[in-house]
Amino acid sequence: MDAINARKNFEFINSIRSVNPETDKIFFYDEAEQKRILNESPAPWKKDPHYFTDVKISAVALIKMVMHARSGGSIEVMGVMQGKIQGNTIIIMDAFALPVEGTETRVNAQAEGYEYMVQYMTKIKEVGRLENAIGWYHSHPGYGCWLSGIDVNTQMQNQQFQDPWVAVVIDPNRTISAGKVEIGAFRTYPEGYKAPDEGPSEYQTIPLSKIEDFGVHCKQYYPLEISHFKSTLDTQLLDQLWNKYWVNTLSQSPLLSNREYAARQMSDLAEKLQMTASAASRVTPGGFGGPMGMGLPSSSGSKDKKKKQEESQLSKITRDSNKISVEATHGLISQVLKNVLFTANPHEQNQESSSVAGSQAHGGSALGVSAAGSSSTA
Amino acid sequence: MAAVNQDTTSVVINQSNNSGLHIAIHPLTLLNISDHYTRTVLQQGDGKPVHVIGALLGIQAGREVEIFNSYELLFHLRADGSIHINEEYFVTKQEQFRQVFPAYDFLGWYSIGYKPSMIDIDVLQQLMTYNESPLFLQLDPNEISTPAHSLPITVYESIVDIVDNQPQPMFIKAAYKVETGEAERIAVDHVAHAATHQEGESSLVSHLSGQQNAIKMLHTRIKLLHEYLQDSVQGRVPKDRDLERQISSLCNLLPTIAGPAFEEEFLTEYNDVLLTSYLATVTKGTHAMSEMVDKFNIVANQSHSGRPRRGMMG
Repeated sequence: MDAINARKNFEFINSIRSVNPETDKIFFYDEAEQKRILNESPAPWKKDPHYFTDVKISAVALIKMVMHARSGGSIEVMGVMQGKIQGNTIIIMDAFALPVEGTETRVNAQAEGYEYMVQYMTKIKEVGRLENAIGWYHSHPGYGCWLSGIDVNTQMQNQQFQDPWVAVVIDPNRTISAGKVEIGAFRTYPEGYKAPDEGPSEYQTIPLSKIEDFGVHCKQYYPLEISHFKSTLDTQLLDQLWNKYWVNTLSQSPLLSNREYAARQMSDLAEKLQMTASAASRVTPGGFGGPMGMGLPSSSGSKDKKKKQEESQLSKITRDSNKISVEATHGLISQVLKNVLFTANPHEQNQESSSVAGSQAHGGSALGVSAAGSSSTA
Repeated sequence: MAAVNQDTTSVVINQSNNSGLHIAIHPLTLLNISDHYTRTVLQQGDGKPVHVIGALLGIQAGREVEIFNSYELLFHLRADGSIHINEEYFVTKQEQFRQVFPAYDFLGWYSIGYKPSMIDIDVLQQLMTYNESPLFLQLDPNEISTPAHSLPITVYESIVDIVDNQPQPMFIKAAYKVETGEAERIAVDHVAHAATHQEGESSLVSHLSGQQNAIKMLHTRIKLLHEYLQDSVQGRVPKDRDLERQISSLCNLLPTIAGPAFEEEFLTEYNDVLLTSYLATVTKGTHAMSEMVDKFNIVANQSHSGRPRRGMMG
């Protein structure tokens, strides 16, 4: 992680050359091979709805998508990705924005961008970006990475007519708040396909207003494993870049930039809590000291079931609240660190030391909470 | 085109730049160029030197220039080695980018190499139709790391100089800084350290190591300044008053923010977060409690299944 070490390591691996044909092989586009894969009949991904399991995203594509998603603010934006196929992996080389906004509320959004896409693709092929379109991305500002009903339809149509095709969703707001890129890649099942009951997918927070949309469609698609790759030259540039932008890590305050998002999350959580609480108060009188054992077996069974559902809701809320507090605590840790570094005045050492010690003690306890929280989310 | 040769001495003016232009470059641009170069090399695959050219896009406000993005340009090599930019391609691309990023203007171009030559002057003249004084960014993919802490790029401004009573466009080196938006920083971080981000690793670890790295870097820099000052006190290096003044003004900034207003804000923030984690803990406690009651009920149910139950605590 240390930039100097990383660079030394880099120099060691790449004696002089900035492009290594072996490690950068992924950047080579073999047209004949791609044609062969696409013309394979019947296509393996038609036979097996689970055929694609992995997505590899290049550094440029990821940064372009995240920046585009962020530039949209609270409006959903979309774009197209170019890439190729390698076994069970979809490799995304590049991405470009489409002049279409508000994808979440309009069904024909992609059709609108189609003309632009065709134009763009012909143009970029002339300058050596040879990969075909392989999927689309769009943003879900603030409500997590999953496919809505409209998205499922769009994706399903695309998989029917121009498979292989993958859908990528980015949440720019959560990216900022969590300090890491929130991204998901999905493929839908063909219509009528009964998904095998795999355990519960990775849990994520979904706002109350969207939860119905999520619940209805969440069994119609599956997530793909995402990894990233970069070229030798990219690696070198990135290491050098760290020398330039480390200041931002210290100068930005996540607590400030996330204030609005955090407040919204809080109020969403409060709403959810209220719902569970009122549901619980309806169930509890029976559940507690009531004549449970005397009740008929069938009725107690249904009660248990109801109870279970409510339980899982409470545990979801617990996880959400944990996440919020972990993120807030991270922000605070940075602030406290900065306070100690830049503001603690040596002349007021005596007076300050007590408060610093106090803040350290608080920091310690906060750390404990966040550690507990993150270990439980892991 | 007899003027086209590799003579590099005549196209760059070696004097300090006083145009007052503040140039900021976003990492995306650099990675874009790197990607363009890498794939061209591999696609060509015969080890011959390759040349790539692209346009730089961004926003200019007064003397502030910010380069956000870039795209590839189509060109062909003439027989004498000079470059001809395909204008039609350029115009269409510009049009396409306008539709998605209406705020971005054409600010200049990039290419590969270590020193500008007459060829680049020729390109400059072709592009001057679209921007009066385009910037020129040159990336040297083979300069691995001459002086530490510097990117293998050089930015030039174009100016017109009078040579033999003839106006002659020239390049002059310009200072630049790297700028990142917050989302961009996270994305760059994400790919830069992709290998070290393991799934399931506590987010606390990655957060703290990010902070630690930044502080380490700060420490290295301060140590460097400290060493320099010590050396100059002992006379090992000549004294530079300007530098000393800068260091002194930097020191005077400390403590950066102090005062009751900041103290109050800071404490409010602090308490807010503490309250948040307190609430989260309460929720967690409630959850644990509810789970416990649930389990208790099951157990109580089973052990009393034979006879009527007298209530929860019975």
